[in-house]
Amino acid sequence: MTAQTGAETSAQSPELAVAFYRLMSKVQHGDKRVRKALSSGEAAMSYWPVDGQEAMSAGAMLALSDSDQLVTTYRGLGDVLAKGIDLKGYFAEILGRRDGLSKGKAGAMGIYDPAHGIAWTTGIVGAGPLIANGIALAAAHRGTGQVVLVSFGDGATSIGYVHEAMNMAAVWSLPVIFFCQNNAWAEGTAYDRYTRAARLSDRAVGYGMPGVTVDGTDPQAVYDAVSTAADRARAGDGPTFVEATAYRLQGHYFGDAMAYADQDELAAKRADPPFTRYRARLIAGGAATEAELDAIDNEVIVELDEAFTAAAASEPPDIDELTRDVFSCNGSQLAEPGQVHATLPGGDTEEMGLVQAINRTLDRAMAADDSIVLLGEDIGDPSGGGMFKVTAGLSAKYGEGRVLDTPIAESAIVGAAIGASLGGLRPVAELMFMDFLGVAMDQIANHAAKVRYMSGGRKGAPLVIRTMVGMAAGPQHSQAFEAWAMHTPGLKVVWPSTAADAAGLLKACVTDNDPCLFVESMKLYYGGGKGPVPIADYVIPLGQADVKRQGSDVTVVTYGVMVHAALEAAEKLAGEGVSVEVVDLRTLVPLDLVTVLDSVRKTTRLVVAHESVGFCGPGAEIAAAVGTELFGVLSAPIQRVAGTYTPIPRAATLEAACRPGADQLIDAIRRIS
Amino acid sequence: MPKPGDAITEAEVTELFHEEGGAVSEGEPLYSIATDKVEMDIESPATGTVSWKVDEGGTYEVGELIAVIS
Repeated sequence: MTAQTGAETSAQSPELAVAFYRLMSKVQHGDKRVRKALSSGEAAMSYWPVDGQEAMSAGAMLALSDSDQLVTTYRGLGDVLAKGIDLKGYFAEILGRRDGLSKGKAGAMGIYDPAHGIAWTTGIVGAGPLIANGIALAAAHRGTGQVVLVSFGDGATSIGYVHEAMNMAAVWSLPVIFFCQNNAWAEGTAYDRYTRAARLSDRAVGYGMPGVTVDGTDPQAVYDAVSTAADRARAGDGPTFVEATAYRLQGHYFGDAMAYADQDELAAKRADPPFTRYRARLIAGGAATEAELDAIDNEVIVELDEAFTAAAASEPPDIDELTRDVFSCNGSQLAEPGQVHATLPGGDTEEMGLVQAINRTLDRAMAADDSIVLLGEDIGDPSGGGMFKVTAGLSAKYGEGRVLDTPIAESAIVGAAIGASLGGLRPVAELMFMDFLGVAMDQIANHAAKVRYMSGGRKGAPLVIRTMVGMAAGPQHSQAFEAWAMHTPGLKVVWPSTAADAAGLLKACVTDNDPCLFVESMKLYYGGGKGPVPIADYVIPLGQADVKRQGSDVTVVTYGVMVHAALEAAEKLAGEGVSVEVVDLRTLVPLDLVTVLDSVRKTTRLVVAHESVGFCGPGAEIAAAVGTELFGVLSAPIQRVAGTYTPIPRAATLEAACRPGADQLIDAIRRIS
Repeated sequence: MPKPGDAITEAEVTELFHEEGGAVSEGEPLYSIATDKVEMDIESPATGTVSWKVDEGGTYEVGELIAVIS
């Protein structure tokens, strides 16, 4: 581990020194132009200044090649300007205008300009490194030779995500540079009030990667450190932690007067800003004359001002943009009406449970498409082929480069999947239990689900997250959280009830252009879900419910394990002369409301059932939708049969009382028929 | 009146740093504002002669015309 601080490094050449100056000038004047617009009232928005951090962005970006990728943060103006972003598109985006890179839908927290090497931006502190890993994984997988530099603040080192990301990058030797812009402030909290670490780069030793701290006011020092890291990454030797230290000369946001700072120290720092100091150094050292640097400043100022003025003249987006770009093809939470429903192919079948059906589908998909990679805990054969053997044999067949055993780090798994999808792969991530959704929820809800919207429809995140709802394992390993996912715009949610459906639906997910949450029931893994699966290959398109049993008196709408309870109830009630129709939703988002309405129109009675908690559950949404559409048609109140408003208890007697089954369904049907 | 924070809709003009008709330069402090959340100096966005449209101690909505620099 090395550290260099304090000593000024001399520029390798006058040309390089002037190139640093040009980028520093661009950052300095870009930041000023935005703050001027905010001061004058020309613009009103949240803005996070970079005054004092020019040398960090300039030195780092100049050390990268044009095709190398940047992941940055909301305080990203310096990085993206130095990387060479489309200026008008950038300014229009932060202003929320239609000419913005993402049509004004993302703002400064979602800058995406892949043509200029800006691979993603996040507004969530510490989330970028997780995604950078996946972009780097894709680059390594595809042999592009690209390096990914992920920029984050010193405050981000306090978040667990950064730990997960650095550990994963190190263990996989990913071509990533963790570039920590230490500006002395975690928003308003001073460095020594949130950490006891002497240097943040010291943490690198814990991951087995080099760590270096350099003077972030000296572009050459930053350049040298990032160049070394880039060479190392490109050679396949893995990541480096580069910490650059400086002092943020403006508030956390425009409007923050930094009352929390020592005012004498702040005044002294402002009196000697890095940009002015570097300028004086160049003139004193003979690298450039004052007139030459003035000419650069003027050129940069004109370029920035033209771009900003043009961006400010751009109109806000049309209101019809609101609902575009949630899903590919401008899909919504409801399936397109008028779809021709898929039928299973004829021919020979084989008897299998969900585990085998999913394994077979992944196997066939991986054989057909090299871009499909699997990520998850214990999924490789050296680690057992999966806790439930769903992925058994796949790493032996396709290699550990495509079936990646991960550390126990769910945010890192999903983050890597998102990044890999941005980098052109089709990752399938496994979250061993659905209970762990919460562990990775920021990556799922704030990132995977929002890639398409925050890119203004330019990019989706075609990834699958497979997860399992357990049983008999108590409050933290038996829950179903599909309602969380359904409540998150941008996620598709699928929950098969049979092995045959699982094969066709998973095949649809791995070719879908949006993130899909594929929910598997442990109860159906082996014997419970066993049934005939066609040997031929087939797809069951998302958004197509399936009438699993025809009936005329009552409709039961359900999914997953409860489909089997509904079929059992229907069989029993048939003996009493009650004819029950069972609608298996199969896909929860997009929801096939048309099939539900068609069935209820016929039977005039509805029971909605699911295993998960009834209160505010998916059944409430379906009951409300049917009540709204068919109020005059219903001949009885809609019934809901669902889990109790309790955690799932360990005691088998209590768990049985908590989860609904055929008996509760029979009671509900009898109440209304 | 600039918007110095997401939830801010109005602010008090606490001090005008230049006389009516005085010369101002771009980047130098022009006036100060205060809200429950922030107190800050606002830099002049232009160079010229200032003509004030507000009074010290007055509270104004975001977007209100503060001054004209010509």
